[in-house]
Amino acid sequence: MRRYWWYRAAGVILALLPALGAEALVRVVTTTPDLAALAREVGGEQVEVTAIVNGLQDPHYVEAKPTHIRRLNRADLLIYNGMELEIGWLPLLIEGSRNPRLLPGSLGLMDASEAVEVKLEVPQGEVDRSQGDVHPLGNPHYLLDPRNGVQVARAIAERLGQIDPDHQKSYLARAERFAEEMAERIARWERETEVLRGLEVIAYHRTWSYLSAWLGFHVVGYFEEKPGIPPGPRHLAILESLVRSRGVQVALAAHYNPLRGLEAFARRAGIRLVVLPASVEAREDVRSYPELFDRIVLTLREAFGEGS
Amino acid sequence: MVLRALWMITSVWLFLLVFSVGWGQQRIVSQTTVTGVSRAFNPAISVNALLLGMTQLETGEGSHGETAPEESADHTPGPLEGSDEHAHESLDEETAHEAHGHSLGTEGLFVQEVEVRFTAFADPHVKADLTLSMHGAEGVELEEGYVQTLGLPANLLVRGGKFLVPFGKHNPLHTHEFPFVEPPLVHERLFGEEGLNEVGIEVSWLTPLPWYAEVGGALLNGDNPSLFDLERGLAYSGRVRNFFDWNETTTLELGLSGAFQRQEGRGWSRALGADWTVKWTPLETARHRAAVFQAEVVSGKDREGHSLFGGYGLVRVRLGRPWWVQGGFDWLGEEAFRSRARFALVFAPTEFQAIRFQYSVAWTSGEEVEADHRVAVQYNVTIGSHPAHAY
Repeated sequence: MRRYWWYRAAGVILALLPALGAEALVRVVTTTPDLAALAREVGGEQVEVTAIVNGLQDPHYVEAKPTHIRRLNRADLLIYNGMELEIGWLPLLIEGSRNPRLLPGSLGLMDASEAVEVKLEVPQGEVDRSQGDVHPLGNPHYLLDPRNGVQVARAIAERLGQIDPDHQKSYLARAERFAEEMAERIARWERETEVLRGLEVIAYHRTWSYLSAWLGFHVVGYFEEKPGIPPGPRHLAILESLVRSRGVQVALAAHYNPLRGLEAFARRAGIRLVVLPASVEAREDVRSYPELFDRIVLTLREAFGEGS
Repeated sequence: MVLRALWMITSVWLFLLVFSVGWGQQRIVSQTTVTGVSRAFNPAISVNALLLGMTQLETGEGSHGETAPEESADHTPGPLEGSDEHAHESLDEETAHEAHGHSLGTEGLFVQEVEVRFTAFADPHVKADLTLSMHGAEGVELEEGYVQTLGLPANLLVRGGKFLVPFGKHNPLHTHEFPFVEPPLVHERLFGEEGLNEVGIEVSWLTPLPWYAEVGGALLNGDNPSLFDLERGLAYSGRVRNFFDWNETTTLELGLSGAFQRQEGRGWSRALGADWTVKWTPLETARHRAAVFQAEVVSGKDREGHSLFGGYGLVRVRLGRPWWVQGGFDWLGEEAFRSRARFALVFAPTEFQAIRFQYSVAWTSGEEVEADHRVAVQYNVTIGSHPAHAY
């Protein structure tokens, strides 16, 4: 009879444990779904992660909805992409959040771009808006190189460990495991895309600079005349002659670019329009950071395999 | 009196705080200059300019079309003319004309406003914002200058200085953010041309309710040409703002606002407002579609004791990346009833410039002139630091 009582008590405690655990979760808010995916990889069961930007949206054009202010109000950690990607909307959300944990310089505010060692397209010399919507700190689409994703995941694990020292070891261990798995995958993706090395493509926006630097293909022209400036007819004509003279076969676009106009151009110029997911959650089957590159690599192989 | 002195000291202190504490830095540009003095702590600066061209169209009998502002005022008598003897001594012809919502004059090209904005963290605890404006091509005035706390406990946020009072949806907007060229009739009549823009201290609290609900109140110095009288001392304002995510693409905002000041022998002068906004933004941002439906009603009693009621409703639809079409109706009921319909087409090739073509027609009850038709072209350009946009 006595033993039976012990079993029951243990059962009750076990049933309550998840509830206790839920209380202690670290609440992480990220701006983009990519950062959310990385935070989930290293945070595991100890964190609750939400992203502000939906996978279908272009992170350049998000609005500072007060709903996000409520989310930030409760957050223990805000991870943002940085390099001025979110400059049009994030400052207002942070100010409105009234959350002392997210003050500039606090542990709770993390600029993920600080973990990235090699930043591309950092403008040299003077920058002004005659160059379009140029990012003075460099191209912010660094998570489209998986090696940067690994660096960022490590940095997130370190930051989580500082905020929640009880679980520091498990964050760092998960980041290490993620890095190892990614190293294998990266080697495989590189093998699978060897055919792309040295190929020339055109693209809508400077979204793919990190991806092309990693995989070794070249983006030789852009639909956008300057970053953020939609193409005019004169620029399209120049682009078309560029495509013909260099024998470009493929135009790359992100899922959130204006695809209808691009398709029309591709038909006219006789090239293939290849739409790549530019972030996690861009498609139903892209739910995690590795799946994003699985899909990108698969799409590129199909495009170049048939195109050449 | 003591209260007043205390008040003045507080205001002066706040301004000194804005100017004296080293400006914080927003962007990482760390270079020293020849003098060895770093510029890294300069505030972020942006400048906005509004240029306006406006003309009055043929209005049928009783109007000569090409009227100058003074003549036009003769032809379209202000609604306050012929009202009782309280009818503002200060409300001369020009002001009566202003009440028509055409305070900018009727014809010609104008520099409507130039606004210079400085923003920076003063230190780890407060952020400072300073906006200087030049109305027309004349004198400079302080449009807004305030410090705002960062991360106070208990979900509080305190703002002190001179600011556009958070009353409804229209009043907090700067001129270049107005949906149409002019403010709504009721706002111009009850708050004056500059809007309800006062020196004061505001405290707002983000409630722990399961939706975004913010409650705020302010103590104001009560200096307004129509609603408040500086002689009467403190004024008060309050605002409740609720925001709901209907679904992923549609949001609903409901708000209530009030502003009050005790007037000698006439009870309280007041403005009470309710506002309603529905906004639709599809997730597929590629086509840049959006739609906004907004309405606001304001009931007021000015410092002279005149009661009035007015409001506006508007629809803005974004057709594609650079194009917006919008239509709106606003009205003001006093002794006379005035109403106005406006339609505008906006072309905004980038975030930093926009051109607005507007047609408006205004009616006043009991006037000989049937309607007042106007067209306007407004050009809006922003340079400098990238401004963040409120939702």
